[in-house]
Amino acid sequence: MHSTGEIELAKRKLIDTGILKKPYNWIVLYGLPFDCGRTLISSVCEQCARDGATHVHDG
Amino acid sequence: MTPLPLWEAAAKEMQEYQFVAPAELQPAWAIPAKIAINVAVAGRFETNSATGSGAAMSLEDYVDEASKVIEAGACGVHIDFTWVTDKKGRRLDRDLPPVEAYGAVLTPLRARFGHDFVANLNVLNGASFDVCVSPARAGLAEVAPCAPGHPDAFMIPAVTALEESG
Repeated sequence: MHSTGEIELAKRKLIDTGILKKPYNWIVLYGLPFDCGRTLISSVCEQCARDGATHVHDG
Repeated sequence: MTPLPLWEAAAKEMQEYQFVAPAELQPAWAIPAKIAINVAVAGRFETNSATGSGAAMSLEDYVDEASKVIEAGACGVHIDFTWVTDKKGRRLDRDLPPVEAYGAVLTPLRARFGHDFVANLNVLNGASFDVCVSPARAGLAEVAPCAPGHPDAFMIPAVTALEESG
């Protein structure tokens, strides 16, 4: 995932639909610019990576 | 704006625009003392220290770099051979079918390390959907990531194909 928004996308489109089977493996892409609908660097700060890692761990 | 061919535009982007900042500029955060590391080995960010410009990495150098991270203890390698060039001058990401290109990287690594590392491949190489997922269907990928932010028309069939390939 390039941004925390992709966690929700994965849940809605892959997990809830049953397409993706357990165990789920997440890769937190840290510092890699990506078009996530805001700016290319919206999700590359350390806090975003931490938030994403915490979100997938708690979820 | 003068429209550029795709590969010329991609080359320009890679030359001018890479990571935002090196990791050491970011504050450290607490991580478990014991972790499994899967290293993404990429030739595309290689920089010639003398000129500061990007340089194509050879296939042999790429395999050497992948070998180093396995020897250093990485449990797996994510194979990203963008810009990597073989002895015939062919770019692995552009001039070879991805099954052949991944084979060129994985065969020497398997010969050396057997299955002591996890092969983590991309689904982003190829002009068509079937070509993109062909390495996974060929059994080359033990793990393959796919970002959910990619367009549904690619991402959902890709993850489905990966699940079907085990």
